Amino acid sequence: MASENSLLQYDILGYIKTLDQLEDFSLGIDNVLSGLFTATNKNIEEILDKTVGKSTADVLRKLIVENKIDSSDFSSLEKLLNELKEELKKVKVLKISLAIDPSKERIEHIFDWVRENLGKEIVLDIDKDESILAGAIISFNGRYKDFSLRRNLGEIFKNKKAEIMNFAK
Amino acid sequence: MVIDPLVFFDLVIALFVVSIALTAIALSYSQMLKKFNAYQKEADELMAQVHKDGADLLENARIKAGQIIEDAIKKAAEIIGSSNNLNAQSKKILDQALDTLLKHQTSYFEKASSDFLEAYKRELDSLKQKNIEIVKNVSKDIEEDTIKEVKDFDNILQKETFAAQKIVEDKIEDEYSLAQKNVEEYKNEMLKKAEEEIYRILETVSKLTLGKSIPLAEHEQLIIEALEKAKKDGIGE
Repeated sequence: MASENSLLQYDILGYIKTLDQLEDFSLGIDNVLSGLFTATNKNIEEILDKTVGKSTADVLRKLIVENKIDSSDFSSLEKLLNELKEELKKVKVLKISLAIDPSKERIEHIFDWVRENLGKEIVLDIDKDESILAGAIISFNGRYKDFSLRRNLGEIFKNKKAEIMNFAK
Repeated sequence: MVIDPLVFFDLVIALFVVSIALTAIALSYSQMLKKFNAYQKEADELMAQVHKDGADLLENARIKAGQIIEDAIKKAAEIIGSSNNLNAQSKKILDQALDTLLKHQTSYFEKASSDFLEAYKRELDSLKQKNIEIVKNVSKDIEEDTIKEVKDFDNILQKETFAAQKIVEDKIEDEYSLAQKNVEEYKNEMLKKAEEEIYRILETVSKLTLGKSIPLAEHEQLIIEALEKAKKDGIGE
């Protein structure tokens, strides 16, 4: 059966990097749990095929195998999934605003840095805001940090206004 | 029924005593009645005497009063006769005095009226002359006053015109100064706005130029740098 922290033990968060993915995964778990109580479903494999996408199904299959849950043991799976849901509620969200649309590689790069430096039970909530020009605005643990190029330039223009205006004249 | 002789004897004695007493009373009453009749007669006589005296007294008084009235009438007739004589004399003297007085007063009043008329005429003439003089003077005064007032009005009008002109000039000067000040303020404000606009355009252009010119690798580097700064600022704590 699952340990005290299934997320860390099976590194589920290695698959879930963003808030969108986390929400999809949680929804998938709810769908599987609903499937467990549908009379027409004969086994877990059938439920996974019908209720969730491939990536979510793969993560859950891995969990089922590692927890040695029989294909017909619906109650053990229910218990595991409920524990997993509780664990997912504890995951923290790091909100980061970027000036560009990040590629998959870039998201992984950022995610790796966050796991390595800030902790493992964190997912990213990325949004695009071209007005920040470059850099990032980060919100985490109720703190807000603006390290955007827009802010830097704003400060430069503010501090050197007179100089800039003389130059403009 | 048999009466006891003792009782019978007592009854007889009692009847005897009673009869004696009644007899005594009857005798006494008879004497008293006689006395009363004597007194009554005496009183009637006295009353008759009194009535007679009163009638005599009234008769005497009436006779005396008649005499007195008769004397009085006589004396009155005498007095009236003598006063009629006196009245005729007095009337004659009074008529004479009145006649004299009337003559005297008539002449006096004639003279007084004549004098008064004369004086009145003189006063009237004098008054007329004075009135003519006053009218003459008044018209002259009116003329002088009118000329003076016209002159004063002219002076005041001139002064007021100058004052109004000065006020208008000052007002125009103030308005002009205010307008100049407003224009200057507006000019400065617009210059400031223009400067701000130039500054904003410069900033925007700089940002856009810089933002567009940053390569993706540089973006990634800046993102990681931002995360590192955030970590250094304690965002993970």
